[in-house]
Amino acid sequence: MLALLPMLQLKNLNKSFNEKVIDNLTLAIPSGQVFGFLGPNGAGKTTTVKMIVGLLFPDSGSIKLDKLPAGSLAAKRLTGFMPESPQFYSHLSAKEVLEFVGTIFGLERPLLADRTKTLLQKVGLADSAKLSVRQFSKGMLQRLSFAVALINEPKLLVLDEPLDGLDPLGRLDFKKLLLNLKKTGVTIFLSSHILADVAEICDSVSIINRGRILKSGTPKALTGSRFVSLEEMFVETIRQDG
Amino acid sequence: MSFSLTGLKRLTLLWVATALAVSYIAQLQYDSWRRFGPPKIQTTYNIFIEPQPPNSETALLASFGAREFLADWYWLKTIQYYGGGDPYGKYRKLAELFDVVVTLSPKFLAAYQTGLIILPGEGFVEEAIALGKGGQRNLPDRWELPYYTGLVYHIYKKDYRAAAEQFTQAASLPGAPPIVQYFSGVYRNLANERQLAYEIFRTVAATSESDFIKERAAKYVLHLEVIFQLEDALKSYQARFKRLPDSFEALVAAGILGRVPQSPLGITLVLDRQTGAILETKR
Amino acid sequence: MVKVLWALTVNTFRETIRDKLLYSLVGFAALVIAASLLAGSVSLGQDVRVFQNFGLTAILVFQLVITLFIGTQLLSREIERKTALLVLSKPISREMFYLGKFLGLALTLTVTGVIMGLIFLILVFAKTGAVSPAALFAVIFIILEVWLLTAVGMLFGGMTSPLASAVYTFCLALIGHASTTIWILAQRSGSVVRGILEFIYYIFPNLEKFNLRNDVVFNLTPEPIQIGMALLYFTAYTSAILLIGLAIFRRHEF
Repeated sequence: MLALLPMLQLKNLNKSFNEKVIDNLTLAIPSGQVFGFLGPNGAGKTTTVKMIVGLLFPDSGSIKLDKLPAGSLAAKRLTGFMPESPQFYSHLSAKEVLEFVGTIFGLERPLLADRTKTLLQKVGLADSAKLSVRQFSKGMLQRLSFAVALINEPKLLVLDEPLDGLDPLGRLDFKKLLLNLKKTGVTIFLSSHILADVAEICDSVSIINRGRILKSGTPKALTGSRFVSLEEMFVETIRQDG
Repeated sequence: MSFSLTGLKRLTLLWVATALAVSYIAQLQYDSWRRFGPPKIQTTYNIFIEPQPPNSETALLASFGAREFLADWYWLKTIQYYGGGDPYGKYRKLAELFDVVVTLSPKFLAAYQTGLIILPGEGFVEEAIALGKGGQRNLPDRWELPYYTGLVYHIYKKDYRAAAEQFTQAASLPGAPPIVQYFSGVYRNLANERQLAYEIFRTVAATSESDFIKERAAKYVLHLEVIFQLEDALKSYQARFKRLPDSFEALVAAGILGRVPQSPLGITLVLDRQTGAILETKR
Repeated sequence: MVKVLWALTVNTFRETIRDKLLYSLVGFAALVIAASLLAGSVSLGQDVRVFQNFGLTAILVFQLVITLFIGTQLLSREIERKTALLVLSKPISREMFYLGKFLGLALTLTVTGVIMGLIFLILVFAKTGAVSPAALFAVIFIILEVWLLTAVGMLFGGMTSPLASAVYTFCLALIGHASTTIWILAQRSGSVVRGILEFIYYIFPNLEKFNLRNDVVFNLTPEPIQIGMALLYFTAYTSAILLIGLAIFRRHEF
């Protein structure tokens, strides 16, 4: 079996605020995989995600995106990021948000216009393109955030609680989109606590609690014969960690 | 028991109506006390309506770069204070206000001019003169300032010598009307500086472009020549008789003068028998 | 790079120009400028002078209010509302982001300054029948002054709460305009106090360099050298403040 080259590599990451939130974290996510990053609230998921996209700086350790240091402009050019509870400038419409972000990526106008139209259609916001984001529901904001994450056709997609706020139909569409993206070779780093969906789409997962990786593996391997579902395994793992 | 929504609304409306009515009555009462009744404050001056200008140097230091704006602020205050009337008619703060205005805006010509006109009338003569002299330091090319200051010396202090100096100064500045030089002569004369007044009037008569002033100055020249003539005649009489004459007619009787000369200005000349000085009185 | 900077600038401009507070401020400023005409009418013949002084002071005050209320919140609002995540997770340097925010508000202040300035200059023209170059320069320099204060506001905004940074920026504005007073007091003091006061004089922004308002009533236009030195000072000081603010912002975590 060929070893898949890691698209994203986290080595001995440490981060403290008033107390330690990330403790010697090491991860390697192969290229073209959907990776699930699971943990309870306050486990350090969002902190890890923010370090990957350069919004936080690790106290020690390193993060490499396709051999590029995380947070560098080159690394950011390859990344699409969907934050938890996305926020946009309220004076912009959905179309204007995408155009603004696309300009930052240096996309030329004709290409940007075309891609904006396509993405809005893909996420189901074509009819709301000119609507101000102030009028968007939570679900619509999530969709727009996903479109923003795809504007630069990233190699690495970092998603923090992407299914939050989506109705069941929306979640289904979203999962389909992710699987289609995977087929095109995009690496997806998915941080979530909705385990049923994670089990469906992820190739591998890691469980984090109190800043440390507790377990890693495929959903099937982690569930094994001992647990009925990934959720049960997760609950038991967290309970054992105290 | 709980209030119904309608009951709560009614209570709110009642409360609002009562509050408005009370505030209306209170306002009326306040107005009648402040505006229509006698001042209730038992002090000489109503300190609540009298402006309290800061010390002028403090105002300048605390102006935060808005000198001219603050000068205008205090200027408007001054106008309102003076124009609005002081119930005791004393305008205690008037001089201070002008001082603040010109300290903040040293080149505010209208402030100096206005101060020089109204301050002396309210009893601030020395302050007006100080204002005028300060204005002359800050606006050395403005003839109006020594002119107005000279008027203050004349009208309020009867200091004709000082007035004459101010008018001479004013006359030398650009834009001064020809009559200013004429007035400097008048004040020199009033100050008994007749020789100087004579030279001034001669110059004005010779050089003025105004026919009126030329004529007046020429008359003053003749008037002073009459006085000089009388003075010379008095000296001759005294040399001969070792005493002063009783009147000008005595000079004619003694053969020193052919007749008693008359002033072309219609001013009666009177001999002071004690000192021998020739005094000028109006008809 | 220029395109990205322009996109950020325009985005910030659009964000601030749609602020309802801004509309009310500009509208109120226009009212105050017009009301200055009334003040002039009770000024015993000094209406032009009073109108010019009051009008220019109103423009400065309102520009300052915009800077204090909006400028000091520029960064903190981004951080609070998490819109910073939208931008800073993209391939854009913190320098570009910071500069874009600054230029965006500077553009807003320029537009509001021009609007108020035009109203003012038109009224001056209507009153005097003449265009006042001195007044025009005064308005331009007011705009420069608030640009500098915006940089200061952003510096504080990156370090502390919006209210605190508004207070600090306001205090710095007062100190800046008290520079003449500070210098006078320094000359009158003993060596130690003089040293301290002179240090304050040089370190804090000397906003009196941009104060041409007192010369407008006497129709005094600044000399070219005065304009040149003021522009040089503005460029140097503003860029220094921006660099300090940027150094702090560079290490800010979101």
